[in-house]
Amino acid sequence: MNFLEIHSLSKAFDGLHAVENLHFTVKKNTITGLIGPNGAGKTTAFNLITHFLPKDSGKVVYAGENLKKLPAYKVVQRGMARTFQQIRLWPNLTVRENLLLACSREYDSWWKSFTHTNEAHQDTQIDEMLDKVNLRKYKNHLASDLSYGQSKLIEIARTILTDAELILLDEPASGINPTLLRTVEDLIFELKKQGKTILVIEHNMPFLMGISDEVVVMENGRFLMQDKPEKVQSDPRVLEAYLGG
Amino acid sequence: MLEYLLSLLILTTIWTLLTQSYNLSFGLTGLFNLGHIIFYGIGAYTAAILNTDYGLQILPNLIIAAVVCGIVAAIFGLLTLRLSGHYLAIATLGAAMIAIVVATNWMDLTNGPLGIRGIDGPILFDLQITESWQILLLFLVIAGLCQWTLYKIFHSPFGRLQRAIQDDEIAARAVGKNTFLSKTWSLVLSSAFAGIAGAMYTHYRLFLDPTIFALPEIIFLILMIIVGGRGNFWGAILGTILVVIIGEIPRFFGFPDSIIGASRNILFAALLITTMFYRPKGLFTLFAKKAT
Ligand SMILES: Nc1ncnc2c1ncn2[C@@H]1O[C@H](COP(=O)(O)OP(=O)(O)OP(=O)(O)O)[C@@H](O)[C@H]1O
Ligand SMILES: [Mg+2]
Repeated sequence: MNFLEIHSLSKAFDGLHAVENLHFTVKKNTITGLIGPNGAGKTTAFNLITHFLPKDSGKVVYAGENLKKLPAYKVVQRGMARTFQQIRLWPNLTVRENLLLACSREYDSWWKSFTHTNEAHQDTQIDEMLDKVNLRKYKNHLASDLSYGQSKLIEIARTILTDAELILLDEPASGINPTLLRTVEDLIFELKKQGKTILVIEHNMPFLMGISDEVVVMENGRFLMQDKPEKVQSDPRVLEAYLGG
Repeated sequence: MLEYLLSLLILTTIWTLLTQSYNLSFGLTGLFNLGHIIFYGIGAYTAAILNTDYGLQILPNLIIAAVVCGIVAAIFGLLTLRLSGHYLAIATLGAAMIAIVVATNWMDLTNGPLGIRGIDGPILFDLQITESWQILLLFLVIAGLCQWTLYKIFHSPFGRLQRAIQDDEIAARAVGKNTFLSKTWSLVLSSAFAGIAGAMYTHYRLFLDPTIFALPEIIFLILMIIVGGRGNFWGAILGTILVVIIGEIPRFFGFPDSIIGASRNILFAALLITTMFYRPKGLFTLFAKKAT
């Protein structure tokens, strides 16, 4: 079953066609890779799918629903959450606060300020998550104290804690050391085991081909192919896209 | 001398509430509403008109002033907060200018530049409060309640969300937060408390004219908040007190009236620059509550 369907998605910036007539599908409970040379339009595609950028045309169907012009925050509430290529934590908030904000929305209204807000349940959730990424001891540090790799893990953790069903990761492996890379890999596999669906942009080919069930290739804003990793790796069009790009 | 001191304390109580109200929208959420003073003015005029035209007294006036300011702020928020921050700044600045024009020219309502006279001092359930120390006490209670409410809001999940919005609004949307609604509420609450401060001022000064909308005053609000630390609850209170004390220094040392204003401004400028260079997070970071 297709959990996510992209139909003829397009976006141009001042005449530059960053994404053009893009289409692909993501099946439920799979890990799908999204690759393409620098500037192929992968991040732009993420921005369009998650509605952080308005699309020029095209259709995004998530869990059977045409998302039309749903605001980005509502897309997240529907169960589709993403990370950013340029990490977006709240630097002046602690790690705990960064994660708490993802955990629930039940206390977000100002009038809840006066009733007892017990966040013990969320704290348990956060502790479990921090243990998984080995960052428990940073719980009360400011996010700005974290290293690049640590920030990356916390951003992924935050995205998972929104309780999303479909998780979009924009280059989770870039710029992090092999140990952290293993942690990321474990996290992604665990998500799949829990029944979640994952779409990953990545330039680290051994990593991506190792975890993906299917891979989508983009070139110059367009769809090039979608197939099993083995097929994609040996396809001459893909090789050419990378060498020619 | 005592009377002067009491008057300074009463005004400081009002200003502290005004600063704290601004500390919510500007300090915590990071909204750039340069026209915050208009809500102080609207609150003040609401109370003055309700009192002189309809005979309503301080308590109902405080509440109605808050509601009126909240509604006006909601309209501003809904119109501008979806757009970039500059729109709010321009819209509130523009509104402040309109407010001055209205206050100056709508003679029937505001009596124009002549101002509204004969406003009642605080009357609580037929009990007239006239002594300065009694007024100070009453205002400390009212402002204290408001400050307590704001303290709760600052240190709640709602407050946390406001800080997140100031840090990175897009990230807040990425975890499913309706940031537009949250920012609007911040502006509404902030303005409502400014309106309460304005109504208190009216019932203390007993006279009101359009100079209440003095736009440059926003500089002092920004100064007090920067000195106290943006979004720092206790910082706003201590910042206001510090600015008031520094403002009294020239008078204390017997400077001639002609240069008091100028020497104050030099001191304030020095304070602002020192803070921004040496303590960009405010002079009172020590008092900052540990993050929630
Ligand atoms: N906001 C923007 N304004 C103008 N041009 C943009 C904008 N965002 C992206 N582009 C352009 O669109 C094209 C696609 O960029 P995008 O970031 O989507 O590529 P990408 O595949 O993610 O590349 P990379 O692998 O380097 O991250 C690029 O040419 C880029 O310069
Ligand atoms: Mg990219």
